[in-house]
Amino acid sequence: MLDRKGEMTSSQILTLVIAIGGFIVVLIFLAILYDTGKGEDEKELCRLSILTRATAYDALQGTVPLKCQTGKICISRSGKSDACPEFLGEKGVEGVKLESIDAKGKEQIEGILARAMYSCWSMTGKGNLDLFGGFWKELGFDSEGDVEKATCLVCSRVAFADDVPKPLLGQINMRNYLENTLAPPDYKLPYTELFTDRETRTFAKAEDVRRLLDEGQIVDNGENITGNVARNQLAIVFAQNKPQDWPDVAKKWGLYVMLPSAIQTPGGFKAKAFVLGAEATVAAVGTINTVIAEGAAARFCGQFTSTGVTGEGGCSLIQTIGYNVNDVNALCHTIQSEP
Amino acid sequence: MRNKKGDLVKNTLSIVIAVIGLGIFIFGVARLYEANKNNEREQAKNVLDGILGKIDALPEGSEATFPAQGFSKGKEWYLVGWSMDEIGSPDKCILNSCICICPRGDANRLIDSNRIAQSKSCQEGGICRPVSSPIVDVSSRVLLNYVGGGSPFPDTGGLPIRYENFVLKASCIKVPKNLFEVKVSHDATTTTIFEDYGTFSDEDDDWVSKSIYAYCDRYSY
Repeated sequence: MLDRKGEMTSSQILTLVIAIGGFIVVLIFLAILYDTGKGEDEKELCRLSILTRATAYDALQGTVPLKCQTGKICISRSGKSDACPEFLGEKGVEGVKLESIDAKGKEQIEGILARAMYSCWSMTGKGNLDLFGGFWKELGFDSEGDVEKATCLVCSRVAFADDVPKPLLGQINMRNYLENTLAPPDYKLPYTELFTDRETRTFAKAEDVRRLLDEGQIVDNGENITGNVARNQLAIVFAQNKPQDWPDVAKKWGLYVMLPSAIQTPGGFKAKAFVLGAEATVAAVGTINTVIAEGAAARFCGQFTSTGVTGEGGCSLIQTIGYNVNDVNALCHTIQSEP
Repeated sequence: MRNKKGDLVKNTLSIVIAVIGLGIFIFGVARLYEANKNNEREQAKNVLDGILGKIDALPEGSEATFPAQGFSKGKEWYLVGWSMDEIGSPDKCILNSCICICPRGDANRLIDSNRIAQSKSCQEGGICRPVSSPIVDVSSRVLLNYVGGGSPFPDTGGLPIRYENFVLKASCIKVPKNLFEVKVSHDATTTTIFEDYGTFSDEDDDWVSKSIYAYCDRYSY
């Protein structure tokens, strides 16, 4: 039997292989995260940077940059990426051809918006990740006393070209679509169930909203929202707030989120909102007949699963709002995505 | 008896792994530092290029209003413009009109000195882009309807006491951490970018004057 002196043992070889493998993985990770990963799919890059920040130690969160580029979708009859004046002079616009201007076209638009919401929801950790943890306060990026405002990512902007008939937009019914359409990736659950972690499939009744308002469980905070009246453009926004008294914010946010009564698109298209929390989600569809899951106001915010400090909670929401200064700034005090 | 060659291999292996690990650690720290150092400046550049991209795409002689996105940052940044023949423009704009995005320096707020301070901060830490039109007007504007007597701007004593449909301009636009709306127009001679703060009347608080005065430092009237 050979017993050469100095020969590497199998355990040493294994250690070496594992170490080299580990280093390669770390190097690839760093390369993707910082610049050299520019060719990487943008959504994956964003997801990776979010995951990295959310799992980083609180003090280091600020050093992990978010690499989230706002997606730009232009819906038009021609399908050209330059058909929407809202994106004039901007790069990276995805042109989507509206196949028809009948019920099929309406469903196509609903599908585009729903998928954009799903993408944002999925990319940001389904509302459970603490994206803007303790560091934002240390750096002065907190809500500066206005606990109702949040730090945001604008996941997507969706614009409609002039050749998309306004009456068609008026027929959009996101509530119905989200309740009755199976969502990716498995196409086993409708969007509402997926977004609410199977808590609810249907939206609550308008009278429930009124009762909660009357009982003071939620507050109508949407009166200053101008909606998308002036411009034909929507934004799918991820917003997160982590105040000390987060249940109180939940209450105030609910209001805002659950009564987006003024959020109207030019065609009367009803906007919708989702509040994503660790334990529950509230879904709402615009107009004064806004509907919410009963009692959800108390539950739609929760403990983050990735926070560096045990027991801290907050609120996350994904909402489609008019892309204008008034509406976006009413929700967001800071935007951290790249335009 | 100890196996010396075996020890050597083992130690060498540990040293190699340690060196590689240290190298990756240093690389990671360097990249983190670099990324954060450049991030704010990169975002500022994106804001400026985004606005100029829209202006370039506009047909000559036309106007547009659109939301622009600011960014979270450690410093205050503002947009400022310099016409071709303006004395005191940053060296990087020399012989050209230009539009810059610049960090707010330690400028005092004396009316006569702040344009100089703007120029200095643009030269030292700003990003400037040349503009083809010889005249550039970048400003924040307020329409004043202040007829109640007294001045909302206590330390600008030269201003009249009564303002009726009076447009007050400050020579910069503050870049916020969220959205801001800019109105742009351009033709062969003039490029204009301004943020409209709306109307300020006797009934209002003086938030407008405070915000503009705090960030833009200069008034023209």
